[in-house]
This record gives sequence, C-alpha cells and structure tokens, in this order.
Amino acid sequence: MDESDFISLLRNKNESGFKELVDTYSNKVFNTVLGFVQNREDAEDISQEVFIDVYRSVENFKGDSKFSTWIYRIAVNKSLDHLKAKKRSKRFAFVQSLFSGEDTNLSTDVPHFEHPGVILENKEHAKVLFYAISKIPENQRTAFTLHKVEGLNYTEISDIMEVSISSVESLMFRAKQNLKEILKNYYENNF
Amino acid sequence: MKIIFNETASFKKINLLNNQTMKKDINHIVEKTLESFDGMEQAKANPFLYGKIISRMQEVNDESAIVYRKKLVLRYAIMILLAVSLNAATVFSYLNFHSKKNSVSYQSGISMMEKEYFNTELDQY
Repeated sequence: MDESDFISLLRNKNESGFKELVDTYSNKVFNTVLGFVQNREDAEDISQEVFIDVYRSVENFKGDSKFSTWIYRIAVNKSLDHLKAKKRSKRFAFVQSLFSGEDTNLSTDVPHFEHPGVILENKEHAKVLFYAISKIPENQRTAFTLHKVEGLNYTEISDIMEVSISSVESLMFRAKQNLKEILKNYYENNF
Repeated sequence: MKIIFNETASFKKINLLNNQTMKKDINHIVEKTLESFDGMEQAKANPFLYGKIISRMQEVNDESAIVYRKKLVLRYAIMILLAVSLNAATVFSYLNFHSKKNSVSYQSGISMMEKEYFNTELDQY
C-alpha cells in the first residue's frame, strides 16, 4: 500500500487502513520518539498520541511533503513538547521543594538511558552520548537524533525540519562540536 | 639543593606527561562515544500498540461524551438560575417600589397636614 492509499483510507476513517498505517510506521515513530524522550513508557504514550493525531488531522495534510515526513514532523513536535513540559514540571517541583523544605530527588542529571538498539560493546558510551544529546540546543538535537538514531539522510531531515540542506549540515556540525565539548567535560570530571 | 631541583623538575615532567596521556585518552574516549551509535538498530514498538491506540481513542471519546453531557447540564443549570434570579429581581424591585410609594404617600399626607395646621396658626396671629 502506498502513501496515497493510506491517505484516502484514513480520510474515509477506514479502520483497516489505520491498522496498516500503525503497522507500517509504528517502529519508525517509536524509535524517533524514544531517541528524543529517552524513556520507554513516555515514548509509548507519545507514539500513541502521534497516531491518534494522524488519524484525526489527516484532513489537514495538504500533500506538500511526503506522508512519512508529515508523520515524522508530528512525532518530533510531540516529543519536543513533552520535553518542554517535563522541564517545566521539574522547575516547578524545584521551586516547590524550596518552599516546602522537602528534599525531592531532582538529581536525574546522570547518564541513565539505554537504547535497546545499541550494540552491546557500545552500551556504556551510548548512555553518555544520550546524556550529552539532552544538553545541546533543540534544533541541533533534532537534526542529530534524526540522523544518528533514526538513520535519516540530510534531505529527509531538511524536509522534516523545514530548513535547507545546508542548514542541516551546519546544525550537525555545531551539534558535533557541542557534543565533543560536553563529553570532554564529562570525562574530565568522571575519569 | 641540586638533587631537590632535579626531583621537582622530574615530577613536573611526569605530571605533564600524565596530563598529555590523559588528554589523549579523553579525546580517544570522546571519539569512541561519538561513534557509539554506529551500527545501531531501530527500537521495536510494542506489538500491541494498535490495540492500545484504539482503546485510548475509545476512552477519549467516552470522556468527551461525559464532558459534553456535563456541559449540557451546566448550561441548563445556568439558564434556570438566570431565569430564577431575573424573576426574583423583578418581584423584589416591584415590592420595593410599592413599599416606597406607600411610605412616601403616607409621609407626604402627614407633612401636608402639618403644614396646613401650622399655616392656620400663623394666620391667626
């Protein structure tokens, strides 16, 4: 089934078409979201939201880009929104703990996430790299995650992020520079 | 004195060498870390994802139906409350107006009588 078939079936609210869509894109969406949120439960929740959103707003898909690009875009936006909300709630909890005097455990600033797709010998390094990715600016993180975790090429990333290919190249370059710096600091303090 | 100087110099040299090896090691680890995503496989989604999505959509639909019903009830409640309060306000203002009118007419009667009485008294003198 190609993309136009999916779209017409979804526009008719066809259930088997929707099932086919979920089966085709579930791993792509889940893997992308997991790369951003770095938590399996959150990634499952967000993946569900992405497909519900696709089902409900398929009428808004104008066909300017590929259908897969549109789905990736929704997945990326939802993941970034989730991260922002998490950051906000963390900040709020911190302020609350200042007033209440309670010692809430907010020190999650350590490498903790293990991606299930990483090969065994790289597990420990990958954990630190995921930690470093969470520290770089949002657009650099998006480009790096889509390229390195989801394996998309620069053209696909430029379509998803709605920027030029040279911008993606520059984002990747800056992401690598920042990651190098963060990793260097991390290893200097934890060597 | 010369021996002490030589020892300090050699310590400095060792430290420098250590620092250089450490820097080299750190750079090597950083490079290895940056390459740690190579050969990475795609994470697999939950095989029951579709079922979960469908039940979630059902839940959302049920919730929105409940919210719709609640909104409807609230709307009727507000309408009834408005009608009752409007009626109450009308009755209250009607009663208030009549009681004022009565008291005014009663008071004005007394004052007229008072004026008339005093006027007649003045006229006599």
